Amino acid sequence: MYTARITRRNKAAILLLLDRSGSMAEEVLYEGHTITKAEALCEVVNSLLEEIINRCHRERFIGDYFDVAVVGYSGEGVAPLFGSGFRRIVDIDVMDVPSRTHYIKRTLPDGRRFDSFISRRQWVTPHAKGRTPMGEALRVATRMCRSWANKHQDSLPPIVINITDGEATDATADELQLRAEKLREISTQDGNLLLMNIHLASQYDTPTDSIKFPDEQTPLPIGRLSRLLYNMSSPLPEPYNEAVMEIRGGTPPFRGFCYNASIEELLSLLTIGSLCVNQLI
Amino acid sequence: MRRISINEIIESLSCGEETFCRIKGVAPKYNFYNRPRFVAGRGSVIFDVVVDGSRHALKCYTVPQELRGQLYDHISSLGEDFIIRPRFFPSELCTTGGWADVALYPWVEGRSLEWEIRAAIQNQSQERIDNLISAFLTLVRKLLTAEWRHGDLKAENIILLSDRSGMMLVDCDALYAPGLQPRGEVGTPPYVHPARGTAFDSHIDDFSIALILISLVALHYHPELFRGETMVALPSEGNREIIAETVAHSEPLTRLHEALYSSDYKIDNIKYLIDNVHSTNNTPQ
Repeated sequence: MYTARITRRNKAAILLLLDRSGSMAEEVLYEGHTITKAEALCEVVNSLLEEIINRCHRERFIGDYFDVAVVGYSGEGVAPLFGSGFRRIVDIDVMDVPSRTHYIKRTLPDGRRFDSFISRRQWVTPHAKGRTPMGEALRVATRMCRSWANKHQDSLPPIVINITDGEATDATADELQLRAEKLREISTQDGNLLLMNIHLASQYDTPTDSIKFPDEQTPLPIGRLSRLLYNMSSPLPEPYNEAVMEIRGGTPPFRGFCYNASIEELLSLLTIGSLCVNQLI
Repeated sequence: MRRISINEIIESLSCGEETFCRIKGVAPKYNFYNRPRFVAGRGSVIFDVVVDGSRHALKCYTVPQELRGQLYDHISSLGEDFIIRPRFFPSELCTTGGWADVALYPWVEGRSLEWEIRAAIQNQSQERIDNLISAFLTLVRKLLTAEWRHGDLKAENIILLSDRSGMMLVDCDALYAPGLQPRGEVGTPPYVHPARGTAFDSHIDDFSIALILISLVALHYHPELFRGETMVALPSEGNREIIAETVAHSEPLTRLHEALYSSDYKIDNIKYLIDNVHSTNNTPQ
């Protein structure tokens, strides 16, 4: 299970659920700059999209290896942020989106310093407004992923990564748990859909009490949100073990859950979450 | 150990030569969209660059590995002419994700076997596939005479030279040779026999040699088997019977085809079998 190779015939699907509620307007420190959580989240998601495209670069073509969707949920509802659902990675690559120039400071090991300007494409733009309809987001994800899995039974099961900084405002804990279970029931011949939940910290600085992909011995923080998100998340299959152990040690099985994660480490967490890109032929 | 992303490597390359430790005068070549030209691999990314006026392939690793230096020392000592020898620079490129190991390959004008197979199928050129079979047989006969093995033999790692004079091997990170220590590189599924595991011996290319050859022969006679993937002889492709019929009149090809379904990653007498394949004339039209 979870061993299907990604080919153009057997593509993989990645769905990101982004919390874009009002609390994402909170300020955080990201790459040396103070910006809102919503802005930082977009930077990370855009970097991930660029990285997935990069991984599909072949000799004189971009391989059609992934279908990707990004769904936002906020006070203004739940909706895919580009297109109407999953889009082929080759189409995402040629979308007409603006680029943003970033100023990066570097220090080489010999102490030399230099600054550079880097241009990055912006598929997703920041938004932070209203409440947190996570329950509806899970329902939308279920509809999208079921449809995808029905058409791709020989593929890896879809991967859904939910990134949030708070509690749902449209569903009780029990309702959320049920919706998560329904989502995780979706399967291909290669296994059940993987649902991961990444909870973002509220602190301005890097939190000291974050939990990343806990194993069965990891104590969870007191509080119902961490327990709920943990229970909603899938146990990670064997192909994830090595990458998770590289960042936290521990003993498998690990859970697809992170709590109080800093925005600075989000990209590396998402890179692990979307580890299936390594199963490209 | 943090993996360096391709984004981070591209950003460093775009900053000019300040980000390199020893290599001077590196200039990436850009595509139509003004982005560096590159091919992504599983643990590395290869850029098309100009270094001091001459074209090279710059391989940047996304994961560090301790024994890579020993490997490159060995590759540079190999006497065979069908392997491209790189220069290795540990911790060479400074990225925001850490220092990346780099290997600099002289540029070889040609296209990968993967690309050539697709082009031959798209052009419906049986002759072109036949030429690929001949060139591949020449290459693997030389390889099976050497004491080392490639370890990650796949159509993307085999270059057909532009002048059609022969094929060369690139990307030797999984190379086996007597005396070299295993480095955890175990080739690329599905080119790897499921039973190979972490084996590190002179048989690690057997399965991929048979797979590529039988796939080429099958495509020569049955281009309709191509449905996006080039290795049509893979057991998972479900073409066993039709390919068995195609190779039935050639004992070496039949044995190589059967070996794809064996539980053993080693193919007995593979050198003898390859030496006795005489292009596609061995099989019925």
